[in-house]
Amino acid sequence: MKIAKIKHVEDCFDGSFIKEIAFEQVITKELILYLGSDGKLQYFETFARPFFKFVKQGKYECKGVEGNQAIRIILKNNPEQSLAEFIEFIDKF
Amino acid sequence: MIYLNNAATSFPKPKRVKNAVAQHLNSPPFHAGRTGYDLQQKDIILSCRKVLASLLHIKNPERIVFTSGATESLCLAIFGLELRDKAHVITTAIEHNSVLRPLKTLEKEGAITLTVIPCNSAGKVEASSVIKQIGDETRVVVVNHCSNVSGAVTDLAEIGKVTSAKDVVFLVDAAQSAGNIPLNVEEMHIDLLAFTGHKALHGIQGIGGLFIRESVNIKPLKVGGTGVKSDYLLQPEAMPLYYEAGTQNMPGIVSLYEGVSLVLEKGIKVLQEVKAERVQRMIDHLSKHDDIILYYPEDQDGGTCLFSFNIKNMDPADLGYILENVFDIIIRSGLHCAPLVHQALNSYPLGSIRVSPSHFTTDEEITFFLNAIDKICEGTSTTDFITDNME
Repeated sequence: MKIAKIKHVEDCFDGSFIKEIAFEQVITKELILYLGSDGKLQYFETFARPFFKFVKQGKYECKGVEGNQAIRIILKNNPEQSLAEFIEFIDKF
Repeated sequence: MIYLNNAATSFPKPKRVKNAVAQHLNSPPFHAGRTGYDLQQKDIILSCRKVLASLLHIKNPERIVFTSGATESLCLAIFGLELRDKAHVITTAIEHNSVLRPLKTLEKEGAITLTVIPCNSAGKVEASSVIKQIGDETRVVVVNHCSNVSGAVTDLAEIGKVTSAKDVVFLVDAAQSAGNIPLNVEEMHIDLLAFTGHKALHGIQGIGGLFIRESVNIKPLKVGGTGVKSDYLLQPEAMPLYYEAGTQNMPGIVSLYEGVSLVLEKGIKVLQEVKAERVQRMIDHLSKHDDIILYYPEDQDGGTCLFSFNIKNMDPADLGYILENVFDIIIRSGLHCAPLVHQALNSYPLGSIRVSPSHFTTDEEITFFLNAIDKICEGTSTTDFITDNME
């Protein structure tokens, strides 16, 4: 999945960063399950527009809605490194 | 979109506010004292002070100073009092950071010693707890009228009776209450009243004010041009010019005039009842869910204009995200800039979801919101982590 744009949202008090990542295509169930293959995934499939939250412990947390084109990601610890890892992971989808 | 975040900024703005601001922006800017065409502008500034004075029961409208909002008003009051030598100040756990941060700054600098009165698990501060701490050395009591997290209201009149008798300055943060709850600076013995225009007074962002009682001396935060007495090289000390250096926020004042006029015409008690009914309907519904934790003052006279809640085992930031992105409902999640109250509510550090309707909020919008929460609760009870590859 190609990333179209990364927008900085907030610097958090604990040193983590929040960013909004927009993709070139809409988020599909397949992408959500792919994210889940690398950490902990919560997927509210019963919602009319399913919400998901994905946690890669110590690295990042991201949340979004199936059918949207953007997710919100909280980058923990070493935010730059965590972002680079996420980009590399998502690029393989 | 359903907007339930009126405790942050009210929306929608009344038509008369929008029309008046548009009309103002479409007219030439007549600068006070600098042209022969400034009468219209002077009229609206004075009229705005008059309607505010009427709403807040202030005898002299010129004791109301315009600011950019409650934060500037509170900074003007707190720093303007020029507290020093560890002056004793009392405040409460339900304060917003616009009170806590200036006071904590003064405490750090050694200018004050600070006593923070705790609140109960509904965010309510008992007036008696504040009064007990007022001693001979106390200079100032700073109290939030209405918690921006739980909606709990502090009994100002009880505290004011004591501060007035003991010659202690009584500063009230009315950011949430102005326009929501009746205020009377005389009956409540308030010396300094900080308010903002963009919440329940229906003005635009960037306008607020501070009432300063004649007997209280505070130093201006800023000095400079006033448009009059330009040959005088010090700040003119006449009220309200002393505190209003620089160009006035005329669109803000115009909007505030219309917003306050609307509150006066509809009647603040009528509006308070309408909002309290809306909130009570939501509380009654949500309290049926075992997994919802509500934060609000039960049996409060006049009800409450807002409340907070959490869903057990769910980060309020996630719930806020779901409401906004799945259901198109705007609420506020987090600590709401009032960190201490969450310790008493047991919602620290993640905070809560705050819901704050306005009198424009419809029954249908409330039904939609409650249905959304029902669906989310159903989803959280049936959805677990579907993968858990964490080591």
